[in-house]
Parts: sequence; structure tokens; C-alpha cells
Amino acid sequence: MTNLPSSLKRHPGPVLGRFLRIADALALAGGQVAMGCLVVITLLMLAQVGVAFLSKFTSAVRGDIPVAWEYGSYLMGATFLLGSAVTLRADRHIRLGVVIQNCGPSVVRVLEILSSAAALAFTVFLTFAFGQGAQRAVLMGTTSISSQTPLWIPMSVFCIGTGLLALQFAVRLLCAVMRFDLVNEALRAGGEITE
Amino acid sequence: MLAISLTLVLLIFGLLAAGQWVGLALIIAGSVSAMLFSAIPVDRLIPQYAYNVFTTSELIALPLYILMGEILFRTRLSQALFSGLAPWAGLLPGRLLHMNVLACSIFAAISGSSAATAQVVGKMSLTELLRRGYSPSIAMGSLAGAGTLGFLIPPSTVMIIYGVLANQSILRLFAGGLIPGILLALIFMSWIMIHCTLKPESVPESERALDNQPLRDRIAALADLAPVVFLILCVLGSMYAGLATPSEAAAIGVVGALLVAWKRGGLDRAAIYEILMSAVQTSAMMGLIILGATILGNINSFLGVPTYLAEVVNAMELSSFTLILVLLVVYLILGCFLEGFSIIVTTLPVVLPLVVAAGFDPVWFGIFLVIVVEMAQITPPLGFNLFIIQSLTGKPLTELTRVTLPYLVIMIVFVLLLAVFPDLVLWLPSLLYD
Repeated sequence: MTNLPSSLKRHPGPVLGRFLRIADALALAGGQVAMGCLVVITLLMLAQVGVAFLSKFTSAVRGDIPVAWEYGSYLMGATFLLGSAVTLRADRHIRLGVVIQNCGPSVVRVLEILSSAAALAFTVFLTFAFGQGAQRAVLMGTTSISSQTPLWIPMSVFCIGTGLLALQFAVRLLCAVMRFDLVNEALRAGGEITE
Repeated sequence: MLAISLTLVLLIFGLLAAGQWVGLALIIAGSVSAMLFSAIPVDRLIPQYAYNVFTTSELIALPLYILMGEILFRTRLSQALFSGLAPWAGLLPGRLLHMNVLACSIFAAISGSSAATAQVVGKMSLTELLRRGYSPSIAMGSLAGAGTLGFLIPPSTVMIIYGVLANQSILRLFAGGLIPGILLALIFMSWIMIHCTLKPESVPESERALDNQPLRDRIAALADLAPVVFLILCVLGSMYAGLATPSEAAAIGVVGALLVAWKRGGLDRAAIYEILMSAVQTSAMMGLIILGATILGNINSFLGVPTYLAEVVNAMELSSFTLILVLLVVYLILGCFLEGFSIIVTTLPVVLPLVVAAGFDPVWFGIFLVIVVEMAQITPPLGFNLFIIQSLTGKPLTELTRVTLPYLVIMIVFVLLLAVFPDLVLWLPSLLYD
């Protein structure tokens, strides 16, 4: 909703304002955990290279870290999904701007409401699906084939990631419906928002 | 089947035009088509696809190359490139105008992104060229054109995504892009030489003496390229020496880039936070689009759209070359409205089976697509490299489009040349991996 003229923007009251700030803080926290995941992926891949290199000189070291690729891929999924909400908040998920930029504010608002509602519906569905998947994995004791890692762990992380994204789409929808200004001081101060 | 195909196309472009986020537009278009025209259990398939995509180990390279690019973007590496290459570029007709192509080609070999290449090199070289009095039109045009090499010369984030979506070896794709990347850079340089020979006023009089620099100085200047050579060895060296996979090479590249950034200064805690957050955001953005493309591609296959389109194209009895010509025109039009990455993921599920059925190698088509995506970077109104140069120079988009046109034409001719001589792409991967 940042492309609405300021005359059309309203400010949320204390309750909704608090909700928006909490949603933003959660998005930022998700992004920070995703940053940690990215660092761990890097370290895991480096360890893999190191072990493979050492194994050429000594038989005491195996040629690879058995869980490196499996855990690396879980961490990559966590990076993508936990970072998604803060990415949306920073307006960095790609969308086509040609039409929107050439429409009037009221059309932009309607399009924003429709886009956000559809996106919210999908992300809520995906959150529930991952949640159910995690629940099933707990009940059935499902584990990965290569490392016997309980699958409810990555499923739960993915569920949290899509949940945070759904929350941000809900914020966008709310802001579009209520004509709120999407800029939030907490995140802007953290340097995450590029207006 | 015509109704299904039309519904899909209308849904995709309708949603995109309405401002839906690209990844979600693909998912919604695929899901709605599946619900309308089949009994596919969409509610069960989508979470399964999402889990599969987000745990695809071949994709691990993607966030790591993005991270490496973010680090390099914040180092002052362009200064080293300029001071190391300028004495050599001064030997050629066109003098330092070749800096854009040379620096972009080398930076492309350590960064996977076209935008990062154009921005990092442009920030230094364009300012310097304009300060020295070179013709702005050829300085800006050559930067826009050469910036696109970031996708073609390995490593390349676009190739990683293509490799995952098309189920092709990323190493083969990287090898396939090397010769076309070098050739395209040489053709860009040849064009600069021809242009400057025809229009000598493009190079200021004071720069004519650059070829008189002593050989000893030229050789000494090469020392400035040490960090770049170190990074190329880290990434490409480790991969092609068989020491590391593309993902592991990317992790080595991240450490190498951190070392270079630390050595050159400016890497404090705030910068590291900014680098990591930016890498997370770019990765998340790409992750959502890859998910959308995968879901759309699989639903397309269920619905039989690629088979139907292949039959339609076969019925037209187009030659392979004509098919590529038609695709090139379609992609050039798409490139005016979609950014390059979205073009690949939106069209690949339908186009790849067509092209493979016509007898083209998927690795060859990957390189074709990468060059087409590069063209999208310099075609208005959505040419990302044009925006970067606009932000560096403040020139209007119309002028930038005009000065970039020769490079777009070169790329069109070049891609047709690759269609006639596919071995330009396929020879090196065959030599290395067959």
C-alpha cells in the first residue's frame, strides 16, 4: 500500500498497531534465523570439502559427512521459508509493476486486496499442510532414510516459515482494506525496509 | 486441450498483470487449471511438491552464490579490476572502453549475477570513462551489454535454477556457458573496436597515448588482479579440478570473498548483517518462484499441455531452426514485460519438452535461454541492467535503450549462430564429462 497517496493513508489504532508491530518483529526474527541457517549451510559445505580433502591423505577420515547434503537441504528450505516473510515486508518478492504503476489509487487498492487475499489463502493452506505433515510424522514416527532424522523437525520449521509469510500477507490485506500505511518504524529502524 | 492451454496462459498473465507475486501467480494458475480440468488431488500434491523443492540438495548452491555475490558487491573489487586491466585495454582501438567488457567478463566468473556484475563494474568503470571524456553512448551501451555476461559465464544463478528445473547437470551447464561467454565478450570488444575506428571521436585525444605505456608497468599492474584470480581459483578452480561440487565451490567462494573483503577493508558487523539479510531475501524470493515453477510444470504435465503443444508444433512442420527463431521472438517480447528469471520459470515447463522433441540438447537450450534472459536485462521497459545504468548516470531510459541496441542485435545474431553451430555450447561439456 505504499503507492497510495498519503492523503488516502490512515494510521492504525493502538491494538491493530500492536498487531502490525508483532507481525513485523516475527518476520524480522524469521529472517534472522534464516541468516543463521545460511551461515550453517556454508560451514557444512566447507566441512564437507575439508573432510573429502583429508580423506585423500588418511584412511581415518571418511570421504564425506553423511548428513551434510540432507541437513544442508533442510537448512536451505528453512532459509527460503523463514526468510520469506521479511522478504515480503521489504517488498523484495517479485511482482509485475507495469500495470499497477499505471493505475489509479483505487484500482491499485482493489488489486492489492485481491492479490493479498489469494496469497493469504494459499500460504494458510500450505501452513496447515506442513503442520499436518509434521503431526503425521510425529504420530507415525517417520524418519529420513539416510540419517533417521525425525521428519517432524524440518516439517515444523517449514510450517513456521509459511505461517510467518501468511501473517505478512494478512498484514498486507489488512493494510489494503483499512488503508493503513505499511511502513513500520520498528523494521525501518532495523534497516530492513527499502521504501 | 486448447481450452486448457488458453486458460493456463490467460490465468498466468492475468494474475501477473493484476500484480500477483510471480511465484504465487504460477501456483494459483496451475492449481485452478488442475481443479477445473482434472481430478488431480491438488491439496495433496502441492505440499508434497513444496517439501520436495525446499529440500532439493542441488539447489543448495543457489543461496551460497547469492551470498558470495552480496559480499563481493560490498568490496571495492572493481578498483582492483580497473587498475589491473586498464594498462592492457589501452593497447586496443577503443582504449579503456574495453574495460567494461573485460571487467564484466572477469567479475562474471566470480559472481553469479548479471545485475551485480553491471553494478559493481559500472560504479567504477563508467564513472572513470565519463571523467576521462569517452563517448557516453558507447561507454553506457558497452556496460549494459557486457553486464549481461554475468549470467552466461559460470558460475551463474540462472543456470543453477535451469539445471534444477530441467533436471540437468549444473556442472555441464557451467561448462556449456564458458565458450559462448568468452566468444560473446570478444564480439562485444570487436564491436567497440569497429565503432571506435569508424568514430574516432569516441575516444578522447588524451587517451591515444595509452598504448605507449612500458611493458614493465603493464605486467606490474597485473598484481592488482590477484584477489580476482584468487576468487576464480576458489570457485571455478575447485570445481573443475574435481575438488568440489558446485555447492561446495560456492561455500569456498563465500570464504574467499570474505577474505578479500576483509583484506580490502569495510567489512564490519553491520555490513555482515546487511550482507546476510540481503542474501536471505534474494534467496527467499527465488525460492518462492522456483516452487511456483515446479508446481506449474508438474500440473502442466498432468494435464498434458506440453504433449499437446508439441503435437501442434509438429503439425506445423517447422524446422528446428524456425522453431528456435519463433521462440526467440516470443522470448524477446516476453523480455519486455517480465524480468529474465521469471521468463525461464514461467515458460520452461511448456517449452523444454517442445525443444527436446525437436532434437535440441537440454544443455544447449539452457545456454540459449540464459542468453535470451540476458537480452531481457537490456530490453525496455523492464530491463534491469538499464535501470542500474540509469541509477548510475541519471540518463533517460530511451537514450539507454538506443545506445544498448547494437549489443542486443549482437546477442540476437549470436544466439542464432549457436543454433547453427550447437557444438560451440556442447563441445566443452562433452570433452569434460563424456
